[in-house]
Amino acid sequence: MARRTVGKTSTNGRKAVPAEQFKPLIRESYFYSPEVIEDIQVKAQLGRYRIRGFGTLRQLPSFRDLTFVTSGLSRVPLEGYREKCYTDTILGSRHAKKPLHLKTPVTITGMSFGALSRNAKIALGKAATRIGTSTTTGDGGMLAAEREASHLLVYQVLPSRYGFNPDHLRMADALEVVIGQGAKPGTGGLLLGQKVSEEIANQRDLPPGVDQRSAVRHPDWMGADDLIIKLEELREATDYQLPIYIKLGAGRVTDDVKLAAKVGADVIFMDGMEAGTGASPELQLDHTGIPTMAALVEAVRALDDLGLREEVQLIIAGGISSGADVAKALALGADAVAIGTAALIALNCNRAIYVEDYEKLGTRPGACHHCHTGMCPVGITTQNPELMARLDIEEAADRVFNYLNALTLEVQLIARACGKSNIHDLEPTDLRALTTDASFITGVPMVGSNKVFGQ
Amino acid sequence: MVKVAEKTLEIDCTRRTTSEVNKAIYAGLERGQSVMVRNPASRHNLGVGINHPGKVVFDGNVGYFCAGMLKHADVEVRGNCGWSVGEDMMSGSIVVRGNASAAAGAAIRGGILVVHGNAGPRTGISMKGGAIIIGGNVDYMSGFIMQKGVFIICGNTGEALADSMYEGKVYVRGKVAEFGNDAVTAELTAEDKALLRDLLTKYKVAGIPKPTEFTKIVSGKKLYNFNMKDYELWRVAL
Repeated sequence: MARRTVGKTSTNGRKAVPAEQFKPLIRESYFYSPEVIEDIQVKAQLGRYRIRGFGTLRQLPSFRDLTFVTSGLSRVPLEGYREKCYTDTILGSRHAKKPLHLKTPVTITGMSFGALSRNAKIALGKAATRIGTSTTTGDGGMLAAEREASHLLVYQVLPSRYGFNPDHLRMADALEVVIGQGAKPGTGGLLLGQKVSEEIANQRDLPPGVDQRSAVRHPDWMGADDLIIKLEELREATDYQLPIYIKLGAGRVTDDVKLAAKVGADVIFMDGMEAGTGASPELQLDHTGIPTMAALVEAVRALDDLGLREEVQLIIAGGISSGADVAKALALGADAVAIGTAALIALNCNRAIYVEDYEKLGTRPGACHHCHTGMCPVGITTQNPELMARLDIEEAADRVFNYLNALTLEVQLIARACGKSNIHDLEPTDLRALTTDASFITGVPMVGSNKVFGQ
Repeated sequence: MVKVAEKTLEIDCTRRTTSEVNKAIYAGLERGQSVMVRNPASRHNLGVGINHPGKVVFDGNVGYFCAGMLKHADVEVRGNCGWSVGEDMMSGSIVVRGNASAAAGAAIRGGILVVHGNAGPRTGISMKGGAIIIGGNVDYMSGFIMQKGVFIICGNTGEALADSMYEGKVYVRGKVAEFGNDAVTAELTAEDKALLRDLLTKYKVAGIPKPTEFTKIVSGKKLYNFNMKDYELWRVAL
């Protein structure tokens, strides 16, 4: 059939082009792209929503859409490496008798023993201790070895109350009442059965091997009015010594931040849409919540509205991976940031070792988001003793320490270049937006125009 | 006034902050005294964080979170309770002579909570151990996501009883308005009967009913792992 025009002359006298050259393109549908087709067919097999780890894979407006305007003639920079640039960060000065004094604005976010291996938890604690920052427990209670490794440990009070123990409460350096998390705001935790080992089950009072779905509402209080009383209870139990954080998954940011501040939080932890997870419904990663940069701006404005910017500290988290991200977050009004996924990547997550085990999971280094399977090839998000042994605690702690140090130096580098002797002096006027979206969201002028898009 | 008698410390809540009351309770117990708290006047957060053995009596109504996170001590409330009495209790005992409001014994991991009157919704929610005995009725979603422990209800229950429970045992003497997802009845064994007899006799609840009057409820274990065969159950549980 393909040869039927070859050699023939067309009606206009020119030779017809052979049909072989008209190979039609294979055209993919925008609406039913290969990804959408795969998604439908996977759900047709599973009969439920997809669950996976890591975080959203989609592109969102982020700190990357901003750039710093450093010193020149109009401002005087500080000498790099020579002139001091302070990085000390204080959290919880509003009500607590013992606020947290950190040496860097970068903290480590809550990740459960269960989602993470024992070795990973200990390594994170050791690294945080060496740099002088805090680390956080998670939805599985406090691990004794983690407490030992961590100089400053934030104890989460979660809806599930897995492993909750008033002794651990009293051993903590700060408390974090978790209302939501950025990866899946509005829903409770998930830990699939393959990670609920005997040890994890014991710690959480669960039968081993169950697909554990944590509660999303706290069992003992319901709304903001109750939370006022709950915070008093936590303070009574800890003699008003410890700062109390309220952790929110970014959603209705303005109202939630105002309520959190009004009920008496010392610190508000805002977790944006890019935040990581050990296991979440995929549609929540991609279709619920507010991106980190936008959530930060909204949260800062909410505290400003209440006149509480100076009293209540703000920690922002979700997708923060470089010193530039940290510096931009501080410039937009955060007092500190928290990292989770980036710290795991520093541990070894997605590193090109044990490649054959990535392949067994149907993935490859650099694109692995299989935390939910419990088969983490590098021993971080697993409860399998053999896999966990691949993470040497001391070496892993060194890597995270180095990374935290690098982040801190990067923030200092930018602050000095902007002429600031304290990283907390970075401000929105040090920034310009690279995209109209970022300008519109942050109120930072567009590059070139010096105008705020939308104003 | 704080009166230090030989064996009993009497604390009057009037004109004392909650912190002052609680600190006086801790100090009394540490000295080996029994503690009598007068005029609690429905104050929130009384007796929170007790971490020492001994006897503490609240002589009247208390507010939210009374004896929250309790360890070791034996607490008695001679009145009614606000929300979440004994939440996150680890050990010891709490006996409420009147009624309890919502979420009594929420997320307890040990110890025993006895309410002689009725209890509100979500009684024993997220229970992880220990025991709860209610002399009267409980309201909706009691025993929700129960993980471990023993939950005895001498009266009737509201809807969604023991919904999505993982483990543990619920015993109901009266009428169950509605079983929660995957909460199923089981045969009362000799062991169950002995347990009921011991606990009801010890705490003299509801006129000490006979163990045989109770229905036992346990987890059907169908929600442990996702299974397409149980689609109808998962449709509402997921």
